[in-house]
Amino acid sequence: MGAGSPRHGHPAAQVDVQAEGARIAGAMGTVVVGKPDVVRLALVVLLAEGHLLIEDVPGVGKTTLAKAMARAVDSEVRRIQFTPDLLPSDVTGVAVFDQESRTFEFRPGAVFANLVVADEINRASPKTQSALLECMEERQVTVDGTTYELARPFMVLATQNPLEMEGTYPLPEAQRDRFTARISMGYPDRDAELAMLDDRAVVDPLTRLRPVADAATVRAMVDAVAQLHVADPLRRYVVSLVEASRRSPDLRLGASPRAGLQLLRAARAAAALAGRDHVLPDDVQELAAPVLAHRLLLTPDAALARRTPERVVAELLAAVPVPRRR
Amino acid sequence: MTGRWGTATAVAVAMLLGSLALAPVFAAPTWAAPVLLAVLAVSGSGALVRAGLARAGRADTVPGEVAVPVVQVMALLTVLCAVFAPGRALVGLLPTPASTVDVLGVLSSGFSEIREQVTPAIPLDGLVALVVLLVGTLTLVVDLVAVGGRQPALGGLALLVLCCVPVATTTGDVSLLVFLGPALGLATLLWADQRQRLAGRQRSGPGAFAGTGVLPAVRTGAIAVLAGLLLPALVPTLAEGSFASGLGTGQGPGVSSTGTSLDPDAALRGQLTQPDPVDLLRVDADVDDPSYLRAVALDRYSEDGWSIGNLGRSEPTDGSAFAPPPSGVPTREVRAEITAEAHDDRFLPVFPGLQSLAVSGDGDWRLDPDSGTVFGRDDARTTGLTWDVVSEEVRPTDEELAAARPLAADDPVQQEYTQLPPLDPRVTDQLAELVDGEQSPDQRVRAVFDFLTDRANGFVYSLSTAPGTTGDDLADFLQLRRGYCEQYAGAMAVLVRASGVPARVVLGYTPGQRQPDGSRLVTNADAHAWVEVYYAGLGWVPFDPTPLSGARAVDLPWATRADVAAAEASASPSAPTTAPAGPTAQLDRDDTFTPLATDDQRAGGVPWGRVGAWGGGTLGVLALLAAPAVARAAQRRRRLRAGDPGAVWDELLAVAHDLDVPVRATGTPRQLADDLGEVAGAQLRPELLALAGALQADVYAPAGAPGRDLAGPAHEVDRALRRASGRRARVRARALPPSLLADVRAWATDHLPRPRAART
Repeated sequence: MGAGSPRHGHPAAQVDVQAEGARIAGAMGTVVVGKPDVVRLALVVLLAEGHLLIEDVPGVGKTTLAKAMARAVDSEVRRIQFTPDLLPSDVTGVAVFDQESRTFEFRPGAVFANLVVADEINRASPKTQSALLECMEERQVTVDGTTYELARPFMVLATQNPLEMEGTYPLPEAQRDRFTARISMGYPDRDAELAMLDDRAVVDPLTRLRPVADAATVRAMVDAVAQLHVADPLRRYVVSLVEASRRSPDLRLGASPRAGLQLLRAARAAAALAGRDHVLPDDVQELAAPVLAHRLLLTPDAALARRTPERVVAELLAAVPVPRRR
Repeated sequence: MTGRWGTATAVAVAMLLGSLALAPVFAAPTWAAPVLLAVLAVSGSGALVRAGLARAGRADTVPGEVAVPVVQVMALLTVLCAVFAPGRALVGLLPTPASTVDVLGVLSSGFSEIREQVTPAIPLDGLVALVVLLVGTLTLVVDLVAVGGRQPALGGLALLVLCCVPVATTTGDVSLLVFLGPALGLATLLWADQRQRLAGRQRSGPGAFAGTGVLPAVRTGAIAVLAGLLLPALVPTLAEGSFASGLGTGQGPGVSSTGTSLDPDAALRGQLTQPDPVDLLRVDADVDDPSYLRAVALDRYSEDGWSIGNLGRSEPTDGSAFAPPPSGVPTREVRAEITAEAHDDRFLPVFPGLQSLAVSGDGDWRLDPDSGTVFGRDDARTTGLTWDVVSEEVRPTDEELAAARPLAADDPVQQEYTQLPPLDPRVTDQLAELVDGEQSPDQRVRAVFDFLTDRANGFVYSLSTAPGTTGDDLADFLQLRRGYCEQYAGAMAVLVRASGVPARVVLGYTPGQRQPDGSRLVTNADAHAWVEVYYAGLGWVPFDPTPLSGARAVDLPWATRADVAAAEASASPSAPTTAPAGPTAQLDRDDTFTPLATDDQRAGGVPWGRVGAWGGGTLGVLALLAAPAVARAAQRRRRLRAGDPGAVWDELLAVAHDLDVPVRATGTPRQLADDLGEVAGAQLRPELLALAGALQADVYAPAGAPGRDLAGPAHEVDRALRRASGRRARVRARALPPSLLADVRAWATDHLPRPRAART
């Protein structure tokens, strides 16, 4: 897979999103043990054509998650380790002068893949960060006046170290807003960790993972999700939630219009994965915290009171009425 | 528990403000202190008991909630005993069985006072006790609803009752206070409501603090006050007296015969409606203190009361038939010219002891010498006539009266004027206490007269008694000792007859008010009834047992009232003036009167219309109290009949709200089903899921959902929820459904101006 215009695979109507999704999730579950919620959320973000921000300490399986997803859908995965000396061209690619043909030749950077794992994104300089984030938004790369389309599906799984460390550049809120959802992997439970140790001793489970879908299937699933029915009351509900976040006394910055858009997209994906042809408020409520929390800025008072954005989102859900009328 | 203290304080303040509405009902402010005491006692004792229960950790238990009103009732009783019957109360304060009986007595006298007094009423003990009981009970109810039931706004309904009292009882414009007091009270309760609501929210969520409730409450209160002031101006009201005139004679405009004559056909009730006195007669007499003007004598007494006997004889009035004055008795010659103004009757009012009569016009006026009645034959009426009268009034001395001998048993006067039907034993028993056969006629007459006129015997002028002098009426009068001139005169005449002395009742007029030109003006308010007793050798001697005001009293030196004799120097006793009606001695009751106890305060009779208004007001209040339940039932029917999943769920959630079943306020259909399932039980899970599915499909699915029967499952869930709830919750859900109040609040939030929505 490389640069190129997206191909359309199966017509949307012929894809059983629920079944395909279950297969992919099942395959990933053999590698990412004991984390069905994380797997499911990653799948939701994939089908919503979004990007995932994983905030967790090193070594809990962030990269494994990305690799398992790439392997399960038989697509290309690239990994970039962000360091302070990483250059924007390392991410996007660079035009190199070919001595033989005496022309500039484009060397694609790390973003030219279906799944891009951006490790420790907050360790790179803001300039490099913004290069990646622009690619995420535009889904294309422009080098020396030439535009190169990125692959489809295209999803960035960025990891970020939550601990305060020397030499980190925390993502500004404008850039966090570009991630559809933020999750935390969390440590595996004791049994899963035991099993993991046991398995690794023999063979890496990733190598045993057989693809259960291809990129074309995922594209078809994405198209099917995009066409899922959303009733007017549900749109109103999403807008009410987003508006309520802007009025909340605990928040310095509420959810952006893009946040509402991505919340609805994610809810569509979740509904499709649940086998429904329409979105329910339950889908929105389930995804509200992962989709909204990382975009919200607490007021100093709220931060002092040790409130968390997740808590504020839960309160918004408890305050905004769910429509019961068309 | 500070919230409850606050609400209890709000209740007390609201009830005190609401009680201001009662101010126009009373003539003096002495009612206020006992009412204040009662309100403070009831809400204070309630708050104390609740605080004690809370400290003991027994708040919100059923025995606790029962204990509160019981203690409050005791507190109210203590106030009643301490204020109205301290004599027999323990340490002058605590109720004892004896003092409780005393209080009941005071209360029952209060009911009589309601019937007798018009507003503004004199704050006599009984009336004030009733008001204390009313306000105290209302405070108890409001406290129960507001503090116990946590619905302060609903408690405001009771303030309407306080509003109803002056509206139903006062005439003319209703004072601003009547609306302002309860409106401010309602604002207080609304503030308490808002405060409680916010306090409740604070428990469940962040960001709300009690202080934000003040502004909306003040705003709502201001709107309520404005509406209270503006609405009365827009609502059409009855003109004063219009209610009663609706019951009147129906004879159309102009001066009807009712106010101007003693005609037997006169409709009594018409008199009730005459707010202004009608000038009947102008009297130009040559003495300063003329006697009563006699119109007609009622000389026959039967079970039906006093009536005119046959006008036995019909003699010409040219002088030939007039009886000469009795010899050897002091008399006074009175010459007068009497002119009929509005007076229109077939009986000609003349002074007693008539010696000469000259009537203008060509009417045929006749005299019945036995009764002394002058009447017109062939439809002759007094309208526009003038008549000159010369009379010789008998002015006997006490000694002459005392010396009078009994008449012979076969004397026609003795026979005719002592006729009586069998009397009620209550009357004969009373008489037996007063007289015995050994006494002279005068002693017997005096015994009866003193009995009726001595204030110590407790006779009270009252216009509320039934207008009649039948046997029962008189017996009631003697027992209850409440009546007006009709009963006073009727009773005296009967008692005198029963003691064997001839007597009759006379209808006519007191001599009226002296005018600047020296003449006297007689109005319908001067109509009166009194008694004539026959003394051998002296003839008919007038006695008047009815207390008349000083201005209208006629000086009868031989018949000094016992109460006047007892307090000769004191201010003249108060008095009624009454108007006569038909020959059955029904007297008009539209007059002014001051009770004996208080000379300078005026009161009067309460027309039945007002009693009806009270009754109607009570019914209205009951209807108001039932309104929430009725409205809720209608709402429920409408929702379930609609069959639309949203409506059905509205109803289910309202039921949950009413029964206090915890439900996530912003839950999704599935979550709501889960919450209800927690209480309704697992066996109803299929129904709840079907209901949730129907709602989801209806609201969120692409195509319209196929219609399903939702009422059935909804009823199942409803029943299960009720079964799972306590009795108290079930009763409250029926009587005072909180969901309805929430709906009203939501409506008000949407439709009334409000500050920016409270942050959530």
